Amino acid sequence: MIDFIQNFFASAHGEGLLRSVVIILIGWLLIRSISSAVRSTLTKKMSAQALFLLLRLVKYGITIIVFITIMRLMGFKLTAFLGAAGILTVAIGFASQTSASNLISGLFLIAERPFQIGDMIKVGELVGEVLSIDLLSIKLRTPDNLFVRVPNESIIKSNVTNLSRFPIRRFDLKMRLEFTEDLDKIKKCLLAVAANNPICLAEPQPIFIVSGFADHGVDFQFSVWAQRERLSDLRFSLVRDILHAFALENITIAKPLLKPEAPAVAKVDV
Amino acid sequence: MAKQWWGDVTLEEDQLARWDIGPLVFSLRRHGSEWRLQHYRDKDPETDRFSLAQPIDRQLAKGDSLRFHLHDDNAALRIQPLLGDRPFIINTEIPLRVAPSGNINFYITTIMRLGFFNGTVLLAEIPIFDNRDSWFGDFLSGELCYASATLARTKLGTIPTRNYRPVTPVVVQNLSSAVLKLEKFKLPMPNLQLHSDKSGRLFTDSVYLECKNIDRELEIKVNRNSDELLSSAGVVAPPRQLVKESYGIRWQDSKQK
Repeated sequence: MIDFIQNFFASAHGEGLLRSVVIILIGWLLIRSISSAVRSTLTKKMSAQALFLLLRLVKYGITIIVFITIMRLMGFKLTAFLGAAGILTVAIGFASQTSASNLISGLFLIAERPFQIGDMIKVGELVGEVLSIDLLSIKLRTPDNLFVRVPNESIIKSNVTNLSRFPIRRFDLKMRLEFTEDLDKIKKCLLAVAANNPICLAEPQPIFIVSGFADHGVDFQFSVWAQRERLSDLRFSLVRDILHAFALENITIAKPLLKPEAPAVAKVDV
Repeated sequence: MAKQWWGDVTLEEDQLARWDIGPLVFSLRRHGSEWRLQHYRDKDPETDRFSLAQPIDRQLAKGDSLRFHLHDDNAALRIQPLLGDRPFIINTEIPLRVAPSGNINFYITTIMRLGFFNGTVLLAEIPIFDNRDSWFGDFLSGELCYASATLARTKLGTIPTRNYRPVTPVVVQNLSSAVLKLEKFKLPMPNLQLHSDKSGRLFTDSVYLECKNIDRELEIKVNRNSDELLSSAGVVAPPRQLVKESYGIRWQDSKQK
């Protein structure tokens, strides 16, 4: 048995195998040490997503180099192998068009950086916090705690709204008031409400815009600004304060008019 | 009025004490290593009350509560005044036109915050008044600031002395060849150091606002210790933020002169 092993390693095949194992080991050690060095030196300097991409590049780059080296050691002709690989790539390419599209979209997303991990984004009707940006898809956590995977291709093709990019947001409140109400009085009342609400920003100043006449009242919009994190608090407190102020000032919100419908007359065949 | 109202607080077991500092009212009670803070604020920033550590029998009737657990029963809780955690926007009542090569001095009081420390560790901080938030600058490069409750005068003597409202000396210099219309500017409170003079009055570092070109934003310089007003003052609280971390602010230290 021992003689067989000694003969095997003394032969050309055995020597090649031994060298291959050593090269794989060196490659593995290289991947680990370079990845660790990259992680420790660049974690604070690069974004999480760029670091992730760099680590993948290191891993796959060294793996390909190790693979080609071993193939040459084992006596494979690289040109024939590349030819076969080309045919295989075409075949796989046809079969994985969607994945390739997602992959390329992912690279564009990482380069363009329209959002980052932790941002709140809106894609179509979907709103969620970005958990990860991977090469094929992004992962979102919706406000009702659902995990959603969105393919990168969809992100590239859709309108994406980043709700976390700017520190302040505007809240637009649309209202309809009776024709008989005094607009100056309403404006003064609303501006006083905003001035007394600690969440409303002093600047940019609140905006009072009359949209026009409606069927049963005057439409207008009252817009105020707040810190992004406090927007939902503002929605509640502003509406509460406005209702309270309107009640004190006897300002009436227009009620929608309901048109009574004539009862359907049953058709009787005579 | 006490010269220095900040520092270590020690209370007997279950003792309850109340502080009234301007619009802020708070009480502290100690149970063993646990301290309970209860506080509320008036809506008027000009409310002028000042009484310290008055023993009381019952908790405040209203307010929010905070609890601190210190490392041992005998540890003191330290109260320390802190400057605002964001810049303050100063609006002039009527826009001020400063002639070329002209300069003007202001003394501006702002409302600060109180920090509660265990040794050097900040446990919590509360504002003396809920300042209104505001935005300074354009939407892309501006920053969130505080808007309200400041008082500015051109002479220090005309500012009411209140030991809980620090005074910031400000110099606006128009170095351009055009008239500078001064409507508003910001005071970089997180970059300023808080000082106290011998009478216990609080001051901050001096701020210089330089206008070299009226089409550009005012250049802000912070001058530590060089002002005569501050030369005899002791440091109460260091700046929250190093100046090099702040956008648009250039550090000018007396040592570098």
